[in-house]
Amino acid sequence: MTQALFLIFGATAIASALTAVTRQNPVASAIWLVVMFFSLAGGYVVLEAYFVAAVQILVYAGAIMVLFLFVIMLLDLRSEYLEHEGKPKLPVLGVFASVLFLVVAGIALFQAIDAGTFSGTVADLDGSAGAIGGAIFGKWLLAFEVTSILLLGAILGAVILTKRRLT
Amino acid sequence: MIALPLASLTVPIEWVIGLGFILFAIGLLGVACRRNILIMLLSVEIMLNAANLVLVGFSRLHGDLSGQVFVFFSMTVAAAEVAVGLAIVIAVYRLRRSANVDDASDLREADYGDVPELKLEGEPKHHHDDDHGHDDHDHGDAEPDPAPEPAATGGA
Repeated sequence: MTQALFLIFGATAIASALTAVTRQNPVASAIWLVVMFFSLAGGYVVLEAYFVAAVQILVYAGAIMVLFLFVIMLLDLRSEYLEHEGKPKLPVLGVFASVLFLVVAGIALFQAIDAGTFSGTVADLDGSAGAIGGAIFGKWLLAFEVTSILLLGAILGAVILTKRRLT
Repeated sequence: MIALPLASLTVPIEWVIGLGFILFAIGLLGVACRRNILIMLLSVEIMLNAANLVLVGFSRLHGDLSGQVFVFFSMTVAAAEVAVGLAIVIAVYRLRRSANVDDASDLREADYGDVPELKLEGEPKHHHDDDHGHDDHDHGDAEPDPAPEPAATGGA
């Protein structure tokens, strides 16, 4: 049952990611990406990472995607532009790089399986908000604080980059 | 916390890693093959999600919560990247009226492919051609003396 659920969520994620990448219209692409975020959140639930799943929906499908849609509609791309997007310089090389990555990663994965890297028993893990909070505000407190500086820098960068002139 | 009764019922880690690889490859495909800068940014999000998925999988395998904490940091980096990236998209769009990355390739090497020429105002070439044609026309005329004088005064 758990495995079947993961397979369903995984297949949905792959299909929606492929659809999102191949859409001509960025709005359709963003909506398909929301589908992928939701199916990945389902995968997190199957992996018993409940709080990560909740944050995935809140942050990715909520905040980041809304930001994307705002910008897409702010730019107001004309339909005549969308029709002739312009071909990439070397599309074969892009496909080649992607397939090459899959081949190399697949070889590494199967070698790791053969070597018995993953043969250990799956540990029981509490993925609830309380446990995650204890880890963040305990062991990873310094990294958490540095994260706030990163976000501050991002906010300043976004404001300065979109300003028309700095006076 | 619901503990699963049998270890065999849990998801094999190989599936999680394989799904992460496939999603990363799809994201790589999108970044490499699309020219729309918004869709390229979306593809970067797909790649970040693939990394997150593998982190959660290994966190589950090793029974260590650090992997899931890293996922939060990764999401924070993704949010910062989206904010700055979309700001750059807006700035480029304001300059070029286009969301195509090929329209903003001024920093690229000049000898690779066809680089869109920078349009300078008051190009000298067109003016020179005009003068040349005018000269030929003057030589074709039978009387050379009175023709250049009004042209010179008109030019001055």
